[in-house]
Amino acid sequence: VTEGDRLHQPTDNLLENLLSSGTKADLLLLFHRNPGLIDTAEGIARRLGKKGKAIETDISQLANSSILKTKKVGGSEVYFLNQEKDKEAQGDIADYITNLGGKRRS
Amino acid sequence: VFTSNKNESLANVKSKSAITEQPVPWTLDLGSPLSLGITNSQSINMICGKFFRQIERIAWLISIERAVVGNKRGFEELLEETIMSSIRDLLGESSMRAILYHLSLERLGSDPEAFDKKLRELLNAPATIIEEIIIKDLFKRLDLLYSPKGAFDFPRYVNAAKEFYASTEKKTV
Repeated sequence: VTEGDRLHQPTDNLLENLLSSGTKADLLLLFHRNPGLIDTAEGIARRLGKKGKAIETDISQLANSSILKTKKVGGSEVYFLNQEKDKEAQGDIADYITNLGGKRRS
Repeated sequence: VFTSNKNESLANVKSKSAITEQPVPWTLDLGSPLSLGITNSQSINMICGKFFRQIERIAWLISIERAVVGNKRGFEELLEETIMSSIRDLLGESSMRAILYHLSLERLGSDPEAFDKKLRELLNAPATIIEEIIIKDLFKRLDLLYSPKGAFDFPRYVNAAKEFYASTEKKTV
């Protein structure tokens, strides 16, 4: 699955994917409130009051959805917000929700 | 002209004072001070005193009513602000506006049951995650510890927060 495929998944799946767990929502909220944040998984977990292992799966999934980016810094892998893709995803979700009311009512 | 006017005004004052020395009929309704041999100025003082005490009492009752209503509105505003900022931070401004448009609730914070029902109808599963984010934020704002137990129940947590808010308001009053 390429990055492009992942980004062009149906938006209802995108919304359900991004909000499939409380930890994922906490991670999104943390990065949206601190858009310049760059930290290791362990450091990010600490900021959420959790242990590194507890967020491992969710942070990897957000990286797979291209909402987060990773890079190696001094032998450690750090995560940061992919602002461009995040904005794109937010736009898709907003469009999806805007059209949702009509679909649900009909 | 000036002198004559002055004289005229003095005459007016005299005649007015003459009128005030007459018994004022409505003073009898408030304790009949004249029957007790109280002078007119004293009776007016008594009447004014009673009148202002009544006004003070009404003002006090109004302030209590306002405090109760204000307390309720205070929490509703806090909840509304928390709902909006949580959704905005999680999904962005446009998504937040779209959600609020579809919920079509006049006041977001006044009916947590309706909010819960409509959000679930609109978003299905992600609604619970959004509501949990709102509750975490609300509890944080109230300096409360959020420790989830059992199935998540948005209205129950909101009511618990509301009770806590009301108790802290009472303490500060």
